[in-house]
Amino acid sequence: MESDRGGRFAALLRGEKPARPVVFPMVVANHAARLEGFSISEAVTQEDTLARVLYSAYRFYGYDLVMVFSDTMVEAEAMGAQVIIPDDDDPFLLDPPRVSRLEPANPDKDGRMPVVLGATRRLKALLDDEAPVLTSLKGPFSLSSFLHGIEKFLEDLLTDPGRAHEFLRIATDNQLAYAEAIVKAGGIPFIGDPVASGSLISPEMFREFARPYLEQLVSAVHECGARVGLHICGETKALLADMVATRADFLSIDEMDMALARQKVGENTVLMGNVSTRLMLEGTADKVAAAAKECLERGGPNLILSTSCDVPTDAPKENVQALVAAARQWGTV
Amino acid sequence: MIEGMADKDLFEQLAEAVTTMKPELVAELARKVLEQGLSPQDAMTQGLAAGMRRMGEKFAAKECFVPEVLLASKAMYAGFDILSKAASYKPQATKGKVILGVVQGDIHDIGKNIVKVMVQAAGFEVIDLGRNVPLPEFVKAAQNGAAVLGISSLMTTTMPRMGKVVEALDKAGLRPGVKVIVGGAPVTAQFARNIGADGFAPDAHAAVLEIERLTGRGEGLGTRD
Repeated sequence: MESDRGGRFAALLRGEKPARPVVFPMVVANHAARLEGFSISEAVTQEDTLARVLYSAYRFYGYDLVMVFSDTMVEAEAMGAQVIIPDDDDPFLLDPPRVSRLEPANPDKDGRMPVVLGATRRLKALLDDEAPVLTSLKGPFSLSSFLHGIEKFLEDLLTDPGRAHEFLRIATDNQLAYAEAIVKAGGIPFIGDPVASGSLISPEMFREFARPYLEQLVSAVHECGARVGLHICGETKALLADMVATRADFLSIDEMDMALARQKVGENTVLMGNVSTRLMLEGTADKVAAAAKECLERGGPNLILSTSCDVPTDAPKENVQALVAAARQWGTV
Repeated sequence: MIEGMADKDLFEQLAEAVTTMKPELVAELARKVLEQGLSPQDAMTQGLAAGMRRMGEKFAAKECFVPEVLLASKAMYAGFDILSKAASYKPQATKGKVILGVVQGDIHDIGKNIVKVMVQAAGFEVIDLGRNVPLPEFVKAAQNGAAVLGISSLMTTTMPRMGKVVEALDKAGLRPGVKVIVGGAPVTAQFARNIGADGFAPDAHAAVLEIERLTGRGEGLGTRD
């Protein structure tokens, strides 16, 4: 067992080049639950199960980080959105909250935020400094869209920007408290902002409605003395410079040419990514290994070798193993 | 001839009011169409639908984004509501029935909603099954004389379910009568081939062209019957 995982991650974020690449295929609750024989609903509603499946998956695959991520709807649900939790599938948003006045939730009490925080605490206790624990939270833009309804929120960007900013402020307040609670629980906040995607909005909209609130969140985490990561789904070519400007400590990017991403963010930005999740699901272990190698060649050395988004529930374990092995073998053959 | 030009102007104004996302203006122009005794059907195809088609092209070229497309479709419907209620409105024979739905477990339906607007605008009848659609509902819907079934998924986790839908349609003996087209951000042409789909489209504009190709109804918009 390697014992310098945490050290290598910290070194990477300090700007040093670790001897071997840090590797973390984004295994989260769904894949880990399936791997360990639990249903997804058990993993996303019980803090002990969530911690247990993530820990077991970490031991089984032997990657360098752990990510506490149950599903995208945790905060929206805690703020009053109606979320369906199927027996063995990812929770999904049914309706935005039906309240006249939205208020930030209490991270220690509302919805399943305590589940996520509890699992973070447990994993931190189990792993201590052996491996860093990332804990996922949503970017204010995505959370606002879940709270208002995605289409209505996107329309507001053009027709009622004032109302959009109102949602964003409330969502940001919620996330500031949640991020602080994550840091206190021993987690490294990892912001996912799937709706603030270049596939949906223009770079100008990102600059007006997403970036300022991300900046606020990032600097609040920095003030707590912690690091923070940022992931945006889908198309991000035109957003990379703005993602750098949020001052997040590492940027996780979805499918795109890693060499182009590296060129756009410069040598000093730590990137995380980006072996295709499609390939993880449908490809062979050989193809995953080749893609991982290409990723390291094009995006390294300031790179956390990872997947383009979360590892699909039913991705074959051989593919996840191949990605981890590619990092271990890097530079030796 | 001059009258023809005037029609064209009004229809062109309608198209422009759609692309500039102005529902009130679209409504006003639609009423003007009826006042002038012009054909509501022509105003739909040469005005509203033409505007939506341009919007689709702009979206594909990244000249506009989802918020603009959503507002343009609202503007289009503002005109559609007025024109379709007119006494003189005789619905054209549709180009065929298209079923759309997002697979179970997936609640991302913006893309599907945009495809729906564009496909309707192109003259097809659309049955919208919504999002998070269980497999048997696709099969049931396909039994009612649909020409095309459009399935989408925005998540790699739910993508395999599109293949299951194709299998179930095969088993029910509904193919090749019903053509299957797939789409969604993570979907590729290769994936579409692998699961045995008939067509694939990376965006809403391409979806219309692909559905027209599969149904052999590709005469395009703006042409008079």
